[in-house]
Amino acid sequence: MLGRMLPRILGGSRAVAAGLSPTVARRRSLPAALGTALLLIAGCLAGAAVQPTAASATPQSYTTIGKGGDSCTAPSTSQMQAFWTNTPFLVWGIYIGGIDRACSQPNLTKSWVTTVTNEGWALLPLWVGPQNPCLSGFDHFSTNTSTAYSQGQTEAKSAYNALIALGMAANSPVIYDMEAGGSNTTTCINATKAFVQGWTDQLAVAPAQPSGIYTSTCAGFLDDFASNSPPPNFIDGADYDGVISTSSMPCVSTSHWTNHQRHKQYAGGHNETWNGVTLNIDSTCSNGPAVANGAYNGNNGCL
Amino acid sequence: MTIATLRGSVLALLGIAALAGCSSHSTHPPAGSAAGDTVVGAPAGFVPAAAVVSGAGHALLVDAHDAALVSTDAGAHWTSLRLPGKPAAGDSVVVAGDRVTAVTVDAAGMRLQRSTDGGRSWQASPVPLTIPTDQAQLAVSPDGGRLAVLATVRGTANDGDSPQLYVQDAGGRLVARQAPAGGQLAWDGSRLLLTGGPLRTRLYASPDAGRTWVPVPVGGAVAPRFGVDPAAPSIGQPLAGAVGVTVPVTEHAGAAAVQLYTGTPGALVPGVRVPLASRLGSGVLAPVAAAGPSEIVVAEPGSSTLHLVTGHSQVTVHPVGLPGPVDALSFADAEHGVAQVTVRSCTGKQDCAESPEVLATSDGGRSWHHTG
Repeated sequence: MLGRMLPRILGGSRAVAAGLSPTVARRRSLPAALGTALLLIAGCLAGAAVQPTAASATPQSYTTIGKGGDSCTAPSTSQMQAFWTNTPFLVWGIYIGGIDRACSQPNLTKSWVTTVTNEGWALLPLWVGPQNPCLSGFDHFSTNTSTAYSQGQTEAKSAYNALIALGMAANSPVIYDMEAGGSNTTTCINATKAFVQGWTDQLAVAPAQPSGIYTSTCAGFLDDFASNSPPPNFIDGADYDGVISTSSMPCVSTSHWTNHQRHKQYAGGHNETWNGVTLNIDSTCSNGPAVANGAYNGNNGCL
Repeated sequence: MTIATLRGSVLALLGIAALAGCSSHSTHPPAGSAAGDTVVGAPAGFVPAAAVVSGAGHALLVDAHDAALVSTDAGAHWTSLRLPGKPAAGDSVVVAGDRVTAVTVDAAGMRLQRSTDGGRSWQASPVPLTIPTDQAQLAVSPDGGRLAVLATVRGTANDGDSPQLYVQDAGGRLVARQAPAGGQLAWDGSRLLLTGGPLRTRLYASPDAGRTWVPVPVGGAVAPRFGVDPAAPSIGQPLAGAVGVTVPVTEHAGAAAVQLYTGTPGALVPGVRVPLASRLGSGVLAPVAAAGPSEIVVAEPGSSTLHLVTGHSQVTVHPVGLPGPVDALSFADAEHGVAQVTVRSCTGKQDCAESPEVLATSDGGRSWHHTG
């Protein structure tokens, strides 16, 4: 039977101790080192805990290993509950702001964050501000690298304010959503790197937040950000190859972002139905920082 | 009824595609076509790594070595198809008798491949991408005279897909055009239609093969480009029907429903409304397929229930043999259809399984069986 010829096991999991080896081996500024320290602390916690801490503590940065998804707009809390119970999911991407954010977010409130993190969810906050100046159809940052750097800092401040307004701790990680296309000229690549540098440096200012960058692993030239000084603390790479392992990212060196510093969006928009609720989601595997009430290891396949 | 492609939702596997793009194809196996053996059911020993159901009863299976099987009769017969390379992710293969068109990718980039002898020989031409990608949709008109390729960049689904559009000119060359959004293309005569944008809330029409685009209102104002209301309805792929185009729109706010609009872009009027029992999040599209000149099949996104619409009447059926919600659906005629279903289950957060299956029906969707 054809249907029986297409099975795909998504993977079981078991507790695993997180490694603590330092990863992105390059010179760091002091603020960036602080960001790395946060990651390493999270890594320690990941080794000690395999279940989310059901508590009403302020959700903060913890290493999360497991499957997740994101949707253009934050689902209702009841929909989130339906996607929690007996599902592979434990991480959810949320678009917390930015001028180029595609969807409005009527559900995304401080109360929503409290409710879903108490349920056990880990959250990946994404910020969709101005985009690469070579990309049409969006608001852009400047092609001038000095200006782009400053704009990156400004966006980081706004993202931080959004995190706090949503009730997340000051050490919460946040990801800049950098759409991929159009970054194929030297001018635009340099401007984008400068912008991301400003984003990273500003988030590294105390109280530091781990800085992330989301883009297409190849078309977004994700690996180029590894040569920033310092580079973003972690990456969220998009490649819809269906391979869940965060170690498998085309066009990204395996020697970069190796210490629980990767999330991977491995499938694009599709419908999934769990417990009677259907959402249109992208699929993600996490092996890096997320906002939660505790560390969680839900799927070793994501490593 | 001039629309080029009838298409169900694209499957969410690796995403190859078979799109036959023709509204007047035989339901019998294309004897002597596609350069391979035609057999009843999927041949033994073929282990598909990906499958796509689309078009009018069309399905494509591709194995890990890029060998392909194609069916143009809703899975009753399968023919081996020797593609000249790895098909691009997305709706990238069109089969219409002996005429086969495909978009392939290799180390040198993306290529448009054409065959007029069922895949025995091919003519290749480069798709001049400005941003490298291996994801593309191919839209071919029923007569094969019009062709467009929409390449998109992976990982930008939330906000635009960075579309790169190429349209074949009179000389057979691919010419770059500006696409207003990523999404799904379809030919409606000489008009090119595109559905997409955030939450798939936009329908665009181009009267001049992609040189200019106009957003088309469907049942209300055109959705904004940013900050889209999650309650906004999602616009599905236009379908050919007895009277012009039928555009299925999935409504999520309040009681979910699929509202069918018919007419021509710019003059679409509401027709049958199909209530859904499913609990839907924003951006969910119900799979919809044409099953004849005046028949439409709507699949509940959250269950195996189907709604059969004929003219102004509708019947809800609870099919036998469908193991879960349909991902994609396609009918060759009112009786013969093919569907892809992905069965998912978990115990806690561990030991989860996902099983995509391809099934066929020969009684209008009331009962289904695995192909092969």
